[in-house]
Amino acid sequence: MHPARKTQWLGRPFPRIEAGLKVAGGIRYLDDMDFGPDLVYAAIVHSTRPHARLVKVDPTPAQALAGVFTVLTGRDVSGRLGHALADRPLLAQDRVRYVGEPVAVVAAATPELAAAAAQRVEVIYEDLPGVFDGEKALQSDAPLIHPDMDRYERRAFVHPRVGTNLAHVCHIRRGDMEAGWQAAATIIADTYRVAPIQHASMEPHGAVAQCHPDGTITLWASTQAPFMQQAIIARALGLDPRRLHVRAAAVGGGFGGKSFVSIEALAVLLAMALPERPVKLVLQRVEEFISTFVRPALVAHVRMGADRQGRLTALAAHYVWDAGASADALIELAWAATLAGTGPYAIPHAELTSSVVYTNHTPAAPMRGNGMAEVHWAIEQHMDRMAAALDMDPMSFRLHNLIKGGDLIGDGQVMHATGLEQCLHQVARAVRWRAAPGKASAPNRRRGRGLAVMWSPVLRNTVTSATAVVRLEPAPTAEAVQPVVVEVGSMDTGQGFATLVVQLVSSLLGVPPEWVRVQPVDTARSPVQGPGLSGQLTWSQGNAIVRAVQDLRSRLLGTVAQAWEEPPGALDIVDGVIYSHASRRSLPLWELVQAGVRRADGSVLHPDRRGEGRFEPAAPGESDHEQALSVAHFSTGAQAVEVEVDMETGTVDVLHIASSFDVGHALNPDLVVAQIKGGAMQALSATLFEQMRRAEGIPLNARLGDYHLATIFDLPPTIEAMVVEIPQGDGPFGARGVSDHAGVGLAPAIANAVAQATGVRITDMPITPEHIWRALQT
Amino acid sequence: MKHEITLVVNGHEHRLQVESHHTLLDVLRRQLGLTGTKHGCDCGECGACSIWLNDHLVLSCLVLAAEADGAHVVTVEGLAASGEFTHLQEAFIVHHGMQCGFCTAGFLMAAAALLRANPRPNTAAIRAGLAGNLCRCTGYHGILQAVQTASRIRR
Repeated sequence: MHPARKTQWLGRPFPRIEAGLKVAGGIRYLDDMDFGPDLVYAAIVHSTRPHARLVKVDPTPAQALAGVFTVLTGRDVSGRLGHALADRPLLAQDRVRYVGEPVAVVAAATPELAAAAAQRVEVIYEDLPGVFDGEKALQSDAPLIHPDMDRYERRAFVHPRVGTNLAHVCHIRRGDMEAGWQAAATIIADTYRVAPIQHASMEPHGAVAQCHPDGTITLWASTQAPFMQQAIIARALGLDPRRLHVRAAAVGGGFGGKSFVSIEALAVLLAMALPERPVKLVLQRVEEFISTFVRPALVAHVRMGADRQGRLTALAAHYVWDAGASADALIELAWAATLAGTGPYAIPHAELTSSVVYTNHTPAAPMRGNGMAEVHWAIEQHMDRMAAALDMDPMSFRLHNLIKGGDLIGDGQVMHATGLEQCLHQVARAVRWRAAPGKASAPNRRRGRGLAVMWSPVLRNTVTSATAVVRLEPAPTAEAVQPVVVEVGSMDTGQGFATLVVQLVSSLLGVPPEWVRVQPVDTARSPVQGPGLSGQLTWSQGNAIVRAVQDLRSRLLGTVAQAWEEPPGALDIVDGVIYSHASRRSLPLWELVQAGVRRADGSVLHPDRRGEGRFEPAAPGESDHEQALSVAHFSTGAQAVEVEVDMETGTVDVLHIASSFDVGHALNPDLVVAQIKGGAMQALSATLFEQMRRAEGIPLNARLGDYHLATIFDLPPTIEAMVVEIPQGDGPFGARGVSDHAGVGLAPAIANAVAQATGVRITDMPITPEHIWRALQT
Repeated sequence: MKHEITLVVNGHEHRLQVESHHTLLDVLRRQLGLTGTKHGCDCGECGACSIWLNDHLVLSCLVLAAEADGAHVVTVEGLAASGEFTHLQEAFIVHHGMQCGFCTAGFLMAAAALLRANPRPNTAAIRAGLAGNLCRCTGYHGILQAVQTASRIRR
């Protein structure tokens, strides 16, 4: 086998496989699919109160409308949704806990009728005192949001404090904190805050469910995690999971917001009430804001010490996450934030705590980076302040303390080799870090540069195991029907995962890429896969695919070797033709699949046409708890920016973004660059603009016109994406993921640049003109 | 109330019965099956439903179908009238001007309208021409490059 040929389509630009369809308007997202004339339309009745007792929910006025098929309320259903902690009622029971919570759900003949009927459901509330701040929620006199928390089903790694609003707390301590503080010449403590934001994928959430005569149910959904949805919904409804098939439609963006279960279970409930009718629920944009997951608000208390030589001696950090009314989706985020809560530094004495706290806000879920953008906002600003206090250059101070292969991490694991230092050098060079500040474009403006480093853990648990199947379908011609079929349980949500699958399979099998087809995910047929929360698909699913192709190849070549009486090692597949280096014989792969291979005696052998591969990261511990604590690997990188600030208005223009990540091996450099640039701009938007504004739990800007997402006007004149490639030991061809964490370092880099330009430090995200202006006045 | 209207969509004439409250977007998607044009917000704030109405770029979620009686409409499905991709569509593929693809149709219609009015737009003109379209994935850089490339090829 020639290694060069085996990686023919890897490590080089390769166009997106579905791009042609996308530019022609031909991709079918959920709302574009045809479900026939029996389709029924659903609408949700949302709570209008942040915290209230439900006195009465009366569906009768809605049921009286002609064309309304059914109305379901909390009286009709009782299950709770959850992956690690089942704390979210399918429909509100005795109380509502946030504005937007589903109180009832309606099915009618048209979307207009469903909306009208939803308005007619009569709901009478008796307001309860609410909790609208993560830290106030922890005070002893705070109203209890989940008084029945001890009755909720939960996994072993969830640690609630029953009788409080603390849904989960995790804690790691290493070294001797007293000794760490004693050794410090400089100690700084401060608090940083991150506002809640919306994932705001351009495609709203949607689901269609249908209950079939045999009792099985199909759920078509815009989802990042079909298998997770199947498990969560089946458990909440008390169904055998095999009765519920989740079929994934093309996904118009997710970023974490389409993991777990948002509204999909409501379509299933209605479908069960209306057998054989497909029921469609597609959210309006305002519903996206109030009733689907948000990125959590964070309050971070950081205390850091360093000695006179500029070496970090101790860090104590407490991260308080505002989970809203459901903590389930933040349980693993909290573990990740605790394990990686030091930032990418070697610190001998560290104490890290993550608290996940109930409030009367819309439930939170990870958004791109699994909490890392929020944690680094605090740590990477604090590093600049420590550097200033020590009179050191912020880059030199970081280089002094960066984590390296062999250093201790978490509660006793050892760090692997990383290209973090090279990433930092790359971005510093790109923005000319050592040069004098650039000249501003006007007398009232100032320029500054800032940088930040980052790391992001991939947890080693059931979520990161993966299976893949590669099989050959007999067909008249290989070109006609893409007969190399790949089945995986993971979703391409726009990052380009399916393209990577085609590159891997065509390269390793030895067939043209046009022959390869990636099947849409269907839980009834696809191999089981975790939710892909942490951008680890290239690594986990990539490994499973490599193994599946190897399995298939050895079956195919084994059969031919047997027929030709040659050693299998003499055979190869090149461009779809099986070729023997020994005898120079050849056989088109397609002939083998269609007709088999003839032996010398005239008999015919048929090969197995199916290969399977499984990747299971070795589990260090037996229990759920130990697995939650274990990091499979870290992704690392650095970002640097140059900004210009208007000292009169406080507006920030980002002039230059430079990002570099250690991707192990860029299997598709163009897709990697696209992820890095897109991730940076999403982070710029969160850093400068985005904030879900609320007054005592009432949303104030639940529409795109009032919620500032970055537009093309906000694209900096220069945006650069670079990579470092230190191979991932257990990655496919050394690769690891990049899409999830591509924006993690940007917010603190911008804050550090603003501080350099203006002399004021903004500790609350987003960095609004008002924040800067006010800080400049004092 | 029902209205009888005539629309010429991507060169084909259609006689349609529409309700007063139906938007042009509803009719394109539900009655004509042209689902390339997307519902992103239904209130003119995201740009995903951008189409051409009598050669003007409009947000089809803000146009009532009854108002469009007699109009010529072009959607993303009609952008490459010849059946071949336009330079613009090719450039979106080459520069990764899309990821999830949900906003892509709107961007293409806006960018094509821009290039028709101004075949050699500078960067500022491209930004102004696409300012009404939101993209959450790409960060706009690939889109900007695609429009620049398409404008060079057209010359």
